[in-house]
Amino acid sequence: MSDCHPTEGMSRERFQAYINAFNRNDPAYGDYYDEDVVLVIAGKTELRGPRAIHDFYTRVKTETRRTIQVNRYLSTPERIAVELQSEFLALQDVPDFTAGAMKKGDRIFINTFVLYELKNGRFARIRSAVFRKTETRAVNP
Amino acid sequence: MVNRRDFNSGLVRLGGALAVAMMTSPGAAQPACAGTLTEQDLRDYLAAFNRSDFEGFGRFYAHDILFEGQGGTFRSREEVLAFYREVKSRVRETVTLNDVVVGDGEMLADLTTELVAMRDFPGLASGALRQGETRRSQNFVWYQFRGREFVHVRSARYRRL
Repeated sequence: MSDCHPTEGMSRERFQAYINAFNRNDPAYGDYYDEDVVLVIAGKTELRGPRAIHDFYTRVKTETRRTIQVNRYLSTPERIAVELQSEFLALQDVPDFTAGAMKKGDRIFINTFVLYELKNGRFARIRSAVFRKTETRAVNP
Repeated sequence: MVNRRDFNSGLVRLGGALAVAMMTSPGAAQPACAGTLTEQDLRDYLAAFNRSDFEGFGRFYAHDILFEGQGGTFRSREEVLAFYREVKSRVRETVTLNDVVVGDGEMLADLTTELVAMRDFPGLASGALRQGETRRSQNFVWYQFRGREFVHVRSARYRRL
């Protein structure tokens, strides 16, 4: 941090620990959420509360394995902004995946810009927007 | 209850309104931050952009800027300005800052863009506009800068309003 910008509210290391927990399906990632957390995905899908978020991702992860990498990270006392790259690997055929029907083994890569608003060091509001999507298809035998 | 289709639809929603970059007036920066950009610079830039001060907001595009906006990808200051000259000849564009996170050499801004067509604009990338129509959207824009010039601008659609 330079003198031009305020001290960060959450270190990159702590945020990375959250992502690591998410990637390995460790329920500990839920500890980062305020009890009144609101997650809004692309301005459309709104999830309220840690339980709703957990249930949502549990369902998603039955069909795809999502691995998140942190490309860029900015932090102020009350905000975090990150660029995330998510890889979705289809664990089974997912014909109604609206990013494009996926067959087992297909991969979709989505870059998102995400804004986190902090309350007592936890995520109180999360909003994400898609910057780019690319995909690769599994090679059939 | 949110279903999977809604979630997936949100993930892949691309397109949208026009991205903007920022610019500052020469005296606006705090002394300690003279070599970089601040929230106030962003506000100054948006004011210049909204009043179509091309020299003002264009001054802070690096000559070799990579600009990945909702309206297209451009690879120089001249290309970006040519794009906005075309857009602003057809629509009145007003950008409002909702939120910003500023770091060293980069920032993410949450912006609302309002487009009002002054005449028909069938070729608008986010969808044709007829004279008198208005379109509003909210976008997250990631700016990377070198000194006081943007070198990379990327816009992601958050939602159509």
